[in-house]
Amino acid sequence: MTEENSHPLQEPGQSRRIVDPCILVIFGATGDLTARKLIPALYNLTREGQLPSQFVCVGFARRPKSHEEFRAEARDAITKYSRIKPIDETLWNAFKEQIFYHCSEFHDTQGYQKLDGFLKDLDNRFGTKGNRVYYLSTQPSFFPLVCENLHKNNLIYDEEKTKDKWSRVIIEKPFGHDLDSALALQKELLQFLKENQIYRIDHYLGKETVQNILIFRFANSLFESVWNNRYIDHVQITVAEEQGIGTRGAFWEEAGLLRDIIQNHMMQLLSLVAMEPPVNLSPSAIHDEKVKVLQGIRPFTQSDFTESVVRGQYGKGFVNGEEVAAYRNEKNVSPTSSVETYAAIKLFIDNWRWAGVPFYLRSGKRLPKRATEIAITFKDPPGVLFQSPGKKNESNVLAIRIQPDEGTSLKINCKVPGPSSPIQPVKMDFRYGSYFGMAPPEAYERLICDCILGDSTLFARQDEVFDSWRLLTPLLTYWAETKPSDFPNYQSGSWGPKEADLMMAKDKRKWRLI
Amino acid sequence: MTQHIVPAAAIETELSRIWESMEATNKMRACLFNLIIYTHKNPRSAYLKKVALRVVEKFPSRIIFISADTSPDKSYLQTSVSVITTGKGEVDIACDMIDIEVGGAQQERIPFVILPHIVPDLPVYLVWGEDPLKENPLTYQLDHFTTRIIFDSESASSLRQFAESVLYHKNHSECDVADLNWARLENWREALSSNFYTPERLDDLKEINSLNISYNAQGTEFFCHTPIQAIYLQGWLATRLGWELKKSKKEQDVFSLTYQRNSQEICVKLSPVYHTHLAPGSLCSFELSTTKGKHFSFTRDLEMPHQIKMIFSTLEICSIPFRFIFGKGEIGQSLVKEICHKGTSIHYLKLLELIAKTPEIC
Repeated sequence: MTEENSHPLQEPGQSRRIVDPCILVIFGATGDLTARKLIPALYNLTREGQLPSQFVCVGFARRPKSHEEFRAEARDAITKYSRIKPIDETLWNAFKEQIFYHCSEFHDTQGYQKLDGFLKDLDNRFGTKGNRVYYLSTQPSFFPLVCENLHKNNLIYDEEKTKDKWSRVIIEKPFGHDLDSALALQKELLQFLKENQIYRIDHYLGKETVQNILIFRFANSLFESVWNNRYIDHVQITVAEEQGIGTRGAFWEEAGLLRDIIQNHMMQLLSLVAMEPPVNLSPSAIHDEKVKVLQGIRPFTQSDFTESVVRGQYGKGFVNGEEVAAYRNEKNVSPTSSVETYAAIKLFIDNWRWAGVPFYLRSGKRLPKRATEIAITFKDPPGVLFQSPGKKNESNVLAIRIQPDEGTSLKINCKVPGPSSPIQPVKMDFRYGSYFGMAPPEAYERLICDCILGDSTLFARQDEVFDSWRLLTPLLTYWAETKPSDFPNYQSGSWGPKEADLMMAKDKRKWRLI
Repeated sequence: MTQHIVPAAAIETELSRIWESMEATNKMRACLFNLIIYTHKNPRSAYLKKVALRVVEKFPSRIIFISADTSPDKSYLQTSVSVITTGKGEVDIACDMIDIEVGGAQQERIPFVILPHIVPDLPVYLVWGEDPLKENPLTYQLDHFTTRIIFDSESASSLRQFAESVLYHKNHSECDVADLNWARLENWREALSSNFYTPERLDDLKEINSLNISYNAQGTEFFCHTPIQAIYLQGWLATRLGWELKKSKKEQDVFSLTYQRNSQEICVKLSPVYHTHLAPGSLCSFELSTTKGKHFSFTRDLEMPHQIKMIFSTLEICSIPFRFIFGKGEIGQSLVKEICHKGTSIHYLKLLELIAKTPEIC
């Protein structure tokens, strides 16, 4: 999705993108994300030749540790979490030589000074040319502190003065906890960084199927021509998780589902589904169109808080046949918590294309299965033929499965063979795994690589974050002021509270069974 | 078809593994709908499984077969998966089967075990092989997602209560309902409606004063409520022709019902006969007489049970017998037909309303 490459020996769309030599520094290198996602992603990028040989990864964390110890942990992480197993010993032996560890507190200026010296030394040894990616896999409260120290110690370059090398910072969500805090965070970061140096990662955008939404829409005339309020009845976006909150009780009590999933992942999915065609595939053109969608979403009114929104919290129940505890009985959770683990929201986008088409968003923890999908339900044909009273045919549904079983399916009606004409819905199904015979790369692989390339298309731009918070902050305020009286209101392993079904029933619609 | 016992959490993983292992075998995974079958663990469950396997021969689908042991002292949950091959050609069509055996208190987990395994966007047909009178969380949980519940009146302990339950269900649920015994009668209903289609014949129906039906009362271990189809057929005629029930009784296995239409009394008799080679409960003969001396006889050919011989006679003439050929009555065929229908049969609902008002006869 980058702009046309100007390299004379590179053919756009044909040649592999050239990745600059660089050092990736992971802050919070002993954390879960590093082990589960970042290290395996780097290993797989190396395995597939996506990273240059002049590449180094440095772990930065508080715990004292030798390079060897950090490498041993990295190996364990790859063995456990890499999508490609078993570990390739030859590759690992080379890869581990590019992994280092640097011990420091986040607030310790000396630690950053030493880091600067260490990185320069690595530049000399590995030819990484001073290019830097800083991955802030830390609590959000450390973002300004780390950036300030990086800036103070000349680890962030002033791009106007430094043309031969670059520095970029990747930050993980949440980007604030409401509109004011997001604006404040941005203000702080801009003291030390330029906007084009900030890469706000939303791993959903790195998923192949999410990237495919634009290709599906804008490279197929068949679908884009019916992608509007004349043909589409409604859109459902679901992000369902069968897992509970696990050990993240303390975090969850602060965040809740709206902040953790809807404000970022789901709003990104919504904007990709609803955006207008961009003028070109440059990051700015795509971001501009996504922002227009977010700005077009009708703000909540007071009555919407009760009629177009449902929140829920899971009680005890069964997932995969096993008994599981209620949210309020999870570790580090208040027994009277009113934090939501489920939310269903009805939105309208007031623009020419989508006027009158409801977008239903639902997400929850401890639902029957892990599944993320976007489902476009089309309007029914005129009820003249093949219809009889009380026997409505099924609507056509285009389902884009983000995970698992990445792919696309189309539900159509079909005549059952035989002399009479009963109609049965059937499904045309495309699965990435079956068709291409390979597992799609992990989202983090694509996103880390894009950051090194300087391609911000698949990262959230500041105005996307703000507009999303602008929409949802009033709802968060309303929820904070109005404590729910019926929590827990859905059983673990079910598809959520009854109120969510009623919200759909009022519109004469149903949530999809996925 | 090899069953692989797996924990509930590993059902999809195991199915994927089996399919991957068959990659080079020209097997094509197909699924037209979800067929969930719920039955208690009894001899009838084997019959229902056989029916399910016959259904997927025609319509490859995902079968979720639940057999429950209701005795409170046995608490267990066992899940297994298998792949059923249905084709015989170069490319075999195959589909998934998930077996769930459950006992005692573990039954409350069943809805949560099966919910993740329903294939999205395809109809969900639930064959309820048990008495619908009994409270079961599964019906409540599945009702919301079920396209059609196919009840089995054979498993009901009281036909009248069964009718009340199904009607209650229909009135309180959005999903369509059907009944295996009603589906089994389709051939007979077609035979009658295709015979009585001219204005003259339709007038004859208004003159009926007696109706005699014989049914095969030879039961089996899992088929013992043999009069149901006969009761359904006479009830269907009664509701379609506007007969009003006056009285009913049962004497020595013979059911006698008296109806009235205008001032005309109609006597209905349902008599058992015994044939080991016919399906239990299947109808053997159907005879109508009118006040004007007309007589219509429909008799199943015992040598070729999928054919019936029809004779029409008056006091003066007797027609040449002719034959009506049923579709070959293979096991599972009536379920296949029922699945293809859309909506709930109005005729069936009217029949249930009549049965719900009829004093206990079966």
